Amino acid sequence: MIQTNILEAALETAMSTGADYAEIFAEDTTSGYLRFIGDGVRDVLDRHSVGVGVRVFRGLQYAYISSSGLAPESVMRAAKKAAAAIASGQEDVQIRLTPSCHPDLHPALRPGSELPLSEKVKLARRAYTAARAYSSEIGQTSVDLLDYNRKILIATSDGLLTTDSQVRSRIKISAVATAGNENQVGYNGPGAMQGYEFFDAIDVEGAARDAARQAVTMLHAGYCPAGRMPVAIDNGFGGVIFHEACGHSLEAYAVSRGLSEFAGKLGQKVASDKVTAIDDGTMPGRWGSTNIDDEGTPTQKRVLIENGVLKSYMVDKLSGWRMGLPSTGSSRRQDYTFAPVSRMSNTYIAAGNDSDEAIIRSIGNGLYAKKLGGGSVNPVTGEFNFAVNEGYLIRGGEIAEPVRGASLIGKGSEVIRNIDMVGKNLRLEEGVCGASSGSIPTDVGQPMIRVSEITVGGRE
Amino acid sequence: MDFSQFSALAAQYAKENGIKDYELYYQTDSSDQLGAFSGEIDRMSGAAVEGVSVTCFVDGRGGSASTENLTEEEIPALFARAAEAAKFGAPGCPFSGSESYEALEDPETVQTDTAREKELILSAGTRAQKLDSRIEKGVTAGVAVVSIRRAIANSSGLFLSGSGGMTVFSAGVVAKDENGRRYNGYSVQAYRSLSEVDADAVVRRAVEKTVSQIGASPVPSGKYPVIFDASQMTQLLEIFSSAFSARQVQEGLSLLSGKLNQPVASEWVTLIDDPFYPGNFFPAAFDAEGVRTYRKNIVENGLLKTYFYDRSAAEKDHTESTGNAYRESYDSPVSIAPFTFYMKPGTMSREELLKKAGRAVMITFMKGAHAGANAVTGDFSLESKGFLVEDGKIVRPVEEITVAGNFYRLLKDITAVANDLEVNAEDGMSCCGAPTVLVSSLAVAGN
Repeated sequence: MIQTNILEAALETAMSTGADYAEIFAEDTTSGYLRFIGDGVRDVLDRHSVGVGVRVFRGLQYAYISSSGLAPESVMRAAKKAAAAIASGQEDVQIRLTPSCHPDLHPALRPGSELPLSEKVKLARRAYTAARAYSSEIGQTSVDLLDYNRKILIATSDGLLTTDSQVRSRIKISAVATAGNENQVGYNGPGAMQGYEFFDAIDVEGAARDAARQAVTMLHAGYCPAGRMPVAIDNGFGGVIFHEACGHSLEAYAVSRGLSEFAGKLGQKVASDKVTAIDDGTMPGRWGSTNIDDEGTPTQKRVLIENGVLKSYMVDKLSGWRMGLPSTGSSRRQDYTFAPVSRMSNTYIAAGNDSDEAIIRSIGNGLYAKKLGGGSVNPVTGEFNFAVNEGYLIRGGEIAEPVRGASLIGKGSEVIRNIDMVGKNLRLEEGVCGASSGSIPTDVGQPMIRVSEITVGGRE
Repeated sequence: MDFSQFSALAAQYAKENGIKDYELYYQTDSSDQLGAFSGEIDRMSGAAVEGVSVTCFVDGRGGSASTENLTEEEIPALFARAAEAAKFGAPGCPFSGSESYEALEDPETVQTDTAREKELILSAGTRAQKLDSRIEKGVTAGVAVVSIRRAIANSSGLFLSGSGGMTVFSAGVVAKDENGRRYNGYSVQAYRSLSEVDADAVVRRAVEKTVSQIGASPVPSGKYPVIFDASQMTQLLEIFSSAFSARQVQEGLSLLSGKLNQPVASEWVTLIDDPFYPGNFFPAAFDAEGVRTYRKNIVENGLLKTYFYDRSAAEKDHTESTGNAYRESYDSPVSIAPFTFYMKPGTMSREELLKKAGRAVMITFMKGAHAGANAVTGDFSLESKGFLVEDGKIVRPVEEITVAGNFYRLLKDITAVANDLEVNAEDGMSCCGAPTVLVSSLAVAGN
């Protein structure tokens, strides 16, 4: 992407005013976007995003300068500006970069960026047709196809020079059921760190029909009750509860500043015995995986919480310096315009011993949250929320009638102790996580779990 | 290379290669940010991003390709990719321009004054701790100088350009109560330039928001009259503004279908879209398709007067574009969005509105709208904080509640509108605003 001698010269410039560490992140990404709605193509976009970001650390300060294009002069200009921002002296530094290789755990066979549009239109139409055919109440369906071919290069003043190629594909299907003056929505969005071969391996029509099923079910559902109650949260996207209630608060960026309710709690019991939680950026082909993080560190599988005991945070280099901890390969960014911070990859609650039937039966009266939406958290206080997109009442230990979605809210450190049953059937699902270093692909996951008590933001 | 050079080279290439109908959309965003934590500068960043999108129109259909590599070598591939996309794209053609455009003055070039910026953010911590002793040391403060320039050039001879810029100051504080429980709050404000920044006011607001929550607890679940303070009514308007898009209506994604000239809100509600709103620092004389913009009422005393239109949605409804085509960035698809979309303030003060409410839950904070609210259904259920109001007075802080309802219903249930309009100008070119409002009844989940 950029010649080694230019990278070395730019790093030397970046280090010339007394920095402790300098890093160049270069990116050349092509991405495709196709929106299919109302039986036709609405938008087609073919993007080429190219740029560089230079970051320098001095003590716990950093400067980050980014600009479009990869021309040697713009790389040097960014390096100079970064050096000027933290200027504290003068130093002559010699940098010699050594290329470093890593195995490719996520080879892509057919990147979307190399495929003809006709093939993408055909795929989108398959999903659209399947959702529309599900029921005459489906008034509209939109299908978004996204593909990314992201090539990154990282060079650092430690002499590291490494590159990675990250190919992702995703289909997002949204079905709307309409009756009179009411709309309800159903959604599925499978994706992977793979090329279009991913769509051959999954049941695209099935995902579309399931989105339609959610919408029609919710159209005929009443409102969810409001108040505190026991809730069974199903597997897959249900894992968003751990992502929000706990995951973000275990990111070193918040922890290192004392802005997390889990700061200073390594080795302590923070969750119920039933909870073991893992962040694993190495899972082959998974949406949230990468070979290396955006600081060039190979990703890892880390146990965050083991039988309720806090074992590890997710650490990037700068926060690691603040805390005296090594990087865990958790530093991520949306693109070259963002300085990276510690983020999640594929984060899930590990399988336990309880059967789904036992979980439902144990709840006399409560809520079964089958399909979950996104959420958010305030790591300082642990206050979090996430949305139930498809819910059912539980009555007398049995799943009863469907109820329309509602938010579930609580405080992370409390709710994580209220997870008192964990099922056997672990499943992960794809999402996009937004934070200070932008929007990145992540997976959430879990088996079915029981939360003994949580606030349900219903309307009845 | 700058955009006028690039567009000249693109025009030459198009001519030599028989490419008749095309459009270039250019945007450059620059932002310089400084951040402090605990009284020390901890981050400095500068970003300069520019890119251009080419839309080719072939046989009456348009397709787009974009790049951040503004070089001559990139041009052939850019046209080729756009032409390929056009085979499958939506109907369209280049726009030859509106008859006239609002004359806007180019904003002054933004002057950076790093020393002054450092002084403002470094003193935020001591300012906050002086205001209230319960504020902890880890105060965060930031200043961002943001500017955007955009331009359109097409094969019909249209060439338009415009720009804007603002300085945003923010502060975040953490307070600890006597039991060691922590609370945090954040305040942000956009200004025309650094010299206008009122750091004291922003810090004071962050402190007030935070300490006023000390001792908060839920209210019992039930139906309550609900007051949304100006910032939260603004957020609701932002979440649901797409319901007023003609394209959403045409695609069956808005429940305002067929409601033109009918009541969609209570008589207290007038909603205005103003591309030249003085408190928005990105005034726009043309939209993302080059159509002239103008100020208009969307809802007038409760009656729906028009939807937001771009060219293609207008053609479908046999009407004119309202100049509301929008591109978040040069590489975003053309969508439909307002400029400054705000609720017209009423005449009563906020105190009078509280008095009228009597007993109510006042919402001053909501979170999780990307998941807990949906413009297609109108449903929302959002994590909230605020106050319990009794006899027209705030009696205690409230937290760990949700407020839930349906936006389309909420518009009709607004029974009072205060005079304290606020606009979230920090959102940039497309932003919203509202005063404090009273809604007759919504569901609150608590304990």
